[in-house]
Amino acid sequence: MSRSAAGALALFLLVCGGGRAAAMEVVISRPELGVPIFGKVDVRVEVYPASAEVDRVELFLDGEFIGAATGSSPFVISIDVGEENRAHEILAVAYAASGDSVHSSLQTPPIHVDGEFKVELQQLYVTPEFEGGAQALTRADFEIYDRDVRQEIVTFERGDVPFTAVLLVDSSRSMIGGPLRTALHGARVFFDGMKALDEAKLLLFSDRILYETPFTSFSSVLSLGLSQVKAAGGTAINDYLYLGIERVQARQGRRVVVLLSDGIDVTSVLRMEQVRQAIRMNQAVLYWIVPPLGEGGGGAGHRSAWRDPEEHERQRELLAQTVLESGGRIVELESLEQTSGAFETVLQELRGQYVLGYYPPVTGRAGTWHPTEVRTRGGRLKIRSRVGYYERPQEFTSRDSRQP
Amino acid sequence: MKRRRGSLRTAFAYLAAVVLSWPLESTIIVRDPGGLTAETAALILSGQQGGDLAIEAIAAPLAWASGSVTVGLFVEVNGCDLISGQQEEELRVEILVYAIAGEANVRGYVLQAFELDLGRYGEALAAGGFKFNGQLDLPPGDYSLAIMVRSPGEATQSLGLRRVALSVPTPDTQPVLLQPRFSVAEGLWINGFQVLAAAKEGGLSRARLQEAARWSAAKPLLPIGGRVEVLLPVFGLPGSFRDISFELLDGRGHVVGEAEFEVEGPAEAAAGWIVDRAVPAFLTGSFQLSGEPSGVPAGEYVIRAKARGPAGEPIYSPVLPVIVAAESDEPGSWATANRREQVPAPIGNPELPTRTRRTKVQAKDVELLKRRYAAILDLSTGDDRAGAASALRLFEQEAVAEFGERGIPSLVAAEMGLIKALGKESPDSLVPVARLHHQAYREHRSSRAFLLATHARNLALAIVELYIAGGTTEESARFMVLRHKESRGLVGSRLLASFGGDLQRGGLRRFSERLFRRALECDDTNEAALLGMGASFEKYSEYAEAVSYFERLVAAQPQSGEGRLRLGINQRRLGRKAKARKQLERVIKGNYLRWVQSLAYQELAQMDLEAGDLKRSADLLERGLERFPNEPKFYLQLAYLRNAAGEPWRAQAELDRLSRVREPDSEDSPRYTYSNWPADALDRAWDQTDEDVDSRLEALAAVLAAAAEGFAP
Repeated sequence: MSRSAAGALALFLLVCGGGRAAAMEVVISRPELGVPIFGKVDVRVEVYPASAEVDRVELFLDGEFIGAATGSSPFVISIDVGEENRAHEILAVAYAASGDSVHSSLQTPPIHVDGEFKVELQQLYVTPEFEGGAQALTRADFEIYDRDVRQEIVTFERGDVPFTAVLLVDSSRSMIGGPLRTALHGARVFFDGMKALDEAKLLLFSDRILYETPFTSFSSVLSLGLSQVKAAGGTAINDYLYLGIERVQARQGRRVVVLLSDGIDVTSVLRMEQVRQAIRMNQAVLYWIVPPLGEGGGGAGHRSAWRDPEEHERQRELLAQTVLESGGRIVELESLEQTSGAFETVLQELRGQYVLGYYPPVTGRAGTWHPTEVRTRGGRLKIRSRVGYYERPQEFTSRDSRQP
Repeated sequence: MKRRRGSLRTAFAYLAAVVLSWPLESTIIVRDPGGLTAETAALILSGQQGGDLAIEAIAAPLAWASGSVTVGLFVEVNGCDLISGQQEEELRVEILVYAIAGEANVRGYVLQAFELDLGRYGEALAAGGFKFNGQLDLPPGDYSLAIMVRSPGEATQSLGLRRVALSVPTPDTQPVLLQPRFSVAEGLWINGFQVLAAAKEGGLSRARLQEAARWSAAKPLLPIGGRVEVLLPVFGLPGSFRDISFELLDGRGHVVGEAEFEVEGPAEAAAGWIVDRAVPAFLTGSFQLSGEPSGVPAGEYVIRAKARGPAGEPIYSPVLPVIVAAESDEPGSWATANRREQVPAPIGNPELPTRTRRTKVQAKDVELLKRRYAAILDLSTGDDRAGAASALRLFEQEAVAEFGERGIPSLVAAEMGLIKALGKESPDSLVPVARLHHQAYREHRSSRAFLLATHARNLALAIVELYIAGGTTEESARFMVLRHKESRGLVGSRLLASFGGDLQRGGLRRFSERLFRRALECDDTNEAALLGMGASFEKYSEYAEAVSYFERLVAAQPQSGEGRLRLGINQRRLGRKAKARKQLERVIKGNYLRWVQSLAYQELAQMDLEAGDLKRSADLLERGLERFPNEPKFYLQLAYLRNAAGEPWRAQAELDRLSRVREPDSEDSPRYTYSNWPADALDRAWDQTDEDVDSRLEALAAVLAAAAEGFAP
């Protein structure tokens, strides 16, 4: 036999050999090695050589038969591994037409968890501004974007959601007599308009706290002893606005802070920049009722030992910005007689608000800024809501770090 | 959502303009009036009239449109009064007018300030005065115009108050005569004009206002026997105008003279206007006052127009004060006509130039007042000094009530007369007297008698200067050297600084600084004066100047905790952090007032926070809380720090601690105390002067006893 004839014979035998001479291999090429898997996963199985006659490929997940595929390589089988954070084993068995089989397995690891974050539901208070009468909106009418990523609206409520409010009333020297009485009358109008599950706290401040009630839904408790409070002292808006924000943050429900003041802060130790940071960390919405300057209030162009007129004006501008960024509103009075009406306006607006809740994306880095945007379907309506928030440090619970 | 920025402007808008004087074609600079203090607003609403500056004013409705009437406002100020005592080259004149309806409803206002170069205008002002020409838009009705003119110089703080009635009629079926108007002689006044941003419907353009100003003499001089030109606005007067006349009335309202109005026609400016019920006609013409012996004698009167109504009933215009002058008198204004005698300035700096007196002081009044004043001074040498101050206040109020316009000049003559006599015998006797008038100043202010407060202030400061200058007799000098070791300068410095503090609290910045500087000339270590100056610059954001005064204070008075605190805070403002920290740390370590130290902790904690050292800031606040557990600011700062450190639950814990804090109601918070004028140093100065007074009462009693022998029976 010539050499060439012997080579051809060997090749023929190799090709026609019963599998052993041309060994079939199976590889699970997806998911990738070392990557945890959750939910629906496409498992890709490749069989070599490409010419191998494969009868079928069976797939097993964690020891259980999941399904089979026929045809030719690569074989893709969709499986659902569930949401549990655990290791998985995928076993692929390829059967040749001859009945022989080969197999391959892949272990996927779980996500390594040192502990758990408790993610607080993020609530956005949305105030639509209707032209020509209020309309009823549904969940489908809204879209929430957090860091430009659309979020799933988990809770949707309208107006009758109970709120927790802190009413901060400037009781400095400029409010002596009639102005304070008028302001407190307005506050009483607010209290009387509250519903059974609403709660409020009244805090009268000047350069210190003159009067503070507990949180309560009883209007009579909120009004007790008010007649004996006398306006006195300077004005520390920043400090007590900060306090109001922190007080309401610790409460449940829709968080509201209403400030009645001319906005000229003289004696605070905190700056408005710091208060702004606080409101950005929290979920409260701010309302600012502004008495006319000179009537229960100081004048623009105010100067003090603490700030020059420009700095006073800057702090005031920043207060306004902070209010608007919270999704709130500034109500300017032309006269103090309009105070009660202003409180009623705030209350009405709270009743007409929508409260949208979602679980925010967590970066794990406290202080990360999350710009938020609420859109309405078709972009028809003008709406007000907060412009964003700082990610709060999430409450973390440590776990056993050994792999399951 | 947009805020309406317009409603957040200052209440008093600044009208920026360049004004042209008329008839002199030179420039008077319009200044930002800078707002008003509460004291000024109270003063103008108080209803008081008079003051250092003699004022006359007239308000004339000029144009009607859409329910609003444009009223011309013309305020004349005696020039001699303005420049008297001025030591600066720039004379500042502030005009404030409120149009008050009813009890105290301010329906319109004007606020404007001017600066006049005295080098340029001084002579003209001395010869005549300053005239403000402005306008108000008011709805028809009756008003009282409250007018204040103020000249706040460093050396003087003169002001004048005047009330003028204004009736703004509506055109209706009744004929109405408005107030007659007289032409203004050229060259008498330096004119300052209010310039509007833009002529609006119903308002007047500058040209029209200038035209109206030609007929705006506030208290015209009417020569006996001469023809007087007059402009008379009328509404809806039927028939011819031959029935119009002018009546002169005396102080009791009796008609003492009458002259027929010879109408020449509608005024040129009103050419083309017709006499109907909706539009006034401005009639021009003249009348002549008869001379002696059957005519009206020279003097002060009021004049009104008179006409006949549809049924023949008499119709009168509002009255206008006038001066009937002898025909031989040269043309002039009321300001020049009243300049009858020059009286040496009895108050303020003895070197002040003479001031015009409008009223004559009568010798018998002065003698009476002097006796009563001496009795009060004697009372002050006893145990009831507070009672003596009240007695002085009442005495001065009664004098003003009794003698009217002669009241304050009479008081000045009486009080200063006795004071000079006392000072000659014993300069030390002046110390209790100065203090007594300082107390009277406070009482006058409390009872809102601001003109008398001004009088008491001026007198007290003159007494202090007299004291510092010393007596002239050898005996008095010996008496002083033997009994008191401290120099007059030290005592005088304390008196001046104490008063400076009062003025500072009253919002008189320049005057208070002047007193503090004077106090420092006498004693350059005076704590109250150095603190007062520094705090004044600090409040007006002149931090470098403030630091210079606080540095002087700390060098001279190292024990001044407030001085160190303010120095540290202001150095921080200037970016001198290391120096600021050094001062604030020394405050914390020292033995100073609670509010001073508490504030030093707060400021240092803020500095650490800004530097990013949260832990250091928190530790400092915790140490502060150990010393001052009831300081709420510490808890707020700590809460903020905990949040900044990513510990919100600890922040809430700090605020829970805050809930349990109980602050004493009687104390102001440290930051509020700091924002007010320095009070502690001034209280100490006041207490020290109490000691100065106590040790000199004997001297006062002795000289009073001697002076009493000289009183006429």
